[in-house]
Amino acid sequence: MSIAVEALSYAWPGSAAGVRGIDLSIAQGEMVAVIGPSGCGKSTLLKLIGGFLAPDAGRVKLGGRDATALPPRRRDLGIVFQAYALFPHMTALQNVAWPLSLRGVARAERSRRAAAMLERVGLSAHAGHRPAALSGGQQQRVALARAMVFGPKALLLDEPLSALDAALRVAMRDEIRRLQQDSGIATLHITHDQEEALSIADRVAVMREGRILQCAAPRDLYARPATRSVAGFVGHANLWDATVLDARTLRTPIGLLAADAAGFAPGSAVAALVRPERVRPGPAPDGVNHFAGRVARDRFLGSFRRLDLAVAGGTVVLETASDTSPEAVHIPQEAVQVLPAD
Amino acid sequence: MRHGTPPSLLAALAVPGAACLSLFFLLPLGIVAAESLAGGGAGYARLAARAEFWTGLRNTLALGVTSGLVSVAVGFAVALHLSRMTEARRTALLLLVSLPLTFSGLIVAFGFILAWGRAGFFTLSLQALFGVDPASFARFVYSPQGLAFVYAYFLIPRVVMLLLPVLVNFDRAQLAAAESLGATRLRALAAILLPQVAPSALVAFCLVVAVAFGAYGTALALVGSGQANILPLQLFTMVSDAGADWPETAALALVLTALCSVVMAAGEIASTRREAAHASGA
Repeated sequence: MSIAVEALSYAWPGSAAGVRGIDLSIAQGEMVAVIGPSGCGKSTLLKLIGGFLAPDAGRVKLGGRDATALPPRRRDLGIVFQAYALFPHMTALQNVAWPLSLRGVARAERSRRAAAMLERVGLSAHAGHRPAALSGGQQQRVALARAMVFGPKALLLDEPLSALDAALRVAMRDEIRRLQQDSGIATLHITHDQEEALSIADRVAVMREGRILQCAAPRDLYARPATRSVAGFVGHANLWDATVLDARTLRTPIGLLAADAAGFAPGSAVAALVRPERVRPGPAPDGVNHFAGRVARDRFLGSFRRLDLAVAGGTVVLETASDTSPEAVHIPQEAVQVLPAD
Repeated sequence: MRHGTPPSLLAALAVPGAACLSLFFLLPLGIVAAESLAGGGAGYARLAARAEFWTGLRNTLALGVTSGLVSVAVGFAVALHLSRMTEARRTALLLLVSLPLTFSGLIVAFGFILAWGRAGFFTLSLQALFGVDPASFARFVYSPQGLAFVYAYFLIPRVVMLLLPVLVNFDRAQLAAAESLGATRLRALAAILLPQVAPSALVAFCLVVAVAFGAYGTALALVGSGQANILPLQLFTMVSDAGADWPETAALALVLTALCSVVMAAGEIASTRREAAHASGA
């Protein structure tokens, strides 16, 4: 079943925060991740879809039917909350079986189905334990099992991995993706972790100040961000304010930059984007987009290093697998993207 | 390197409390216990032989349990409401809620007489508005049932104080989760919130029941020593009597003390067991 929101707006009382005119659709079996800085409205969006808030305007559709006025209990959505919201007075099995008891499933049947669901998330051995006796990862699995055991129409995940340590987070995000794909269920995944979003979602929506700036497949979002804000939020980036001199040249704080600026009028203010992995160490063979400098910061990141090269007028960030520290870099013209200034 | 307060200092700090406990609780209790056993415990036999004692015990239990139930029910609702407020607003209202605790039982009784007595404001208002007979209506306030509601007035703040921290710390996302899983608001409260508040509610209930068992000032002022047969008033009458049967009076005092202690201990044990089960996670 699909999820769709149309022109959805909500303003928190006495605050400018909220969401404004959100349009988003998630097809059956698709996972859409929503990322954005704190306060951008991503959790508000989830609350509106979940029925915990009534929108000021717009509609929420589930499976093509208007669900805007339905209370949470009648939306049939599986929701995993940020801190899991497990019931501490119930065992893992009781937690997972509870939604089935609400649906009148007989005791034996709900125990069987809850046990099967716990087995799917690899927690059979902990069925009799209360949440207090489970690790963060195990609690997260119980929350996921509880949200999926009754066959919800769609799944909403509210930063479900934020309470886990880094190693467990990576393992659990793969687990979530596997379960979501096995179930073929439309899923909205709210997260502040762009790496998490890019690695498991079919599409990623970037929000800022209550609006969706861009929603695209992870590769497209990374390779072709629509705005400077999106480029800055998704992945690492060299972003410079620039002025278009002509169709092939930009003026930036670090000097002239050869780029394809054909779509922009001369004199217009733009942003120049270069991903760090597209910056080449060493001097330019043809002298184009060549910048000399010295390494101001060197970060070892395992298989590569991220370097800040201090150049005249600014900094160029590059990523390289080389052990040597360059004294100059060059930027291939095709690596420069020209974006409208925000 | 050693950390913490030296044991000698800890012991010194405990001395004033221990001295007060010994002088004003253990010593009098010991004297009363010894007095009750004078004559080979005949005081207990005389007490048990009096039908008035058994009626008083039943009334005391009924009064304590009724006022306890009313107080927990109302106190829970008040605490739940307060827990949803901002901290500043909650603190301000909590001051108002705790005000009855600062009043003596006599003041509470006079307050009720002024409000709900035969010539009380509300009684006369009800007469003016609905033609209610003031004498019949006021009889309720002066009855043991009415006494239970008067007691609730100063017991409710105690319940609020005990339940509020639990409700403030309760993770409300659990209720949202319950509703998203298909529960009505009422079902979510009953199945998710109540079981988690129950241990504290039980402790609060036992505490206020024990307080109600021992309270006599309000009852004395409202109904007088002869009109409500409850154990604290029996004890008051016996102590006031110049020719009192001291072994029997001491026996009654110990029965009342034991009653309060048993109720308090039962609440604590039940609550501790429940919390231990939670902590173990099993």
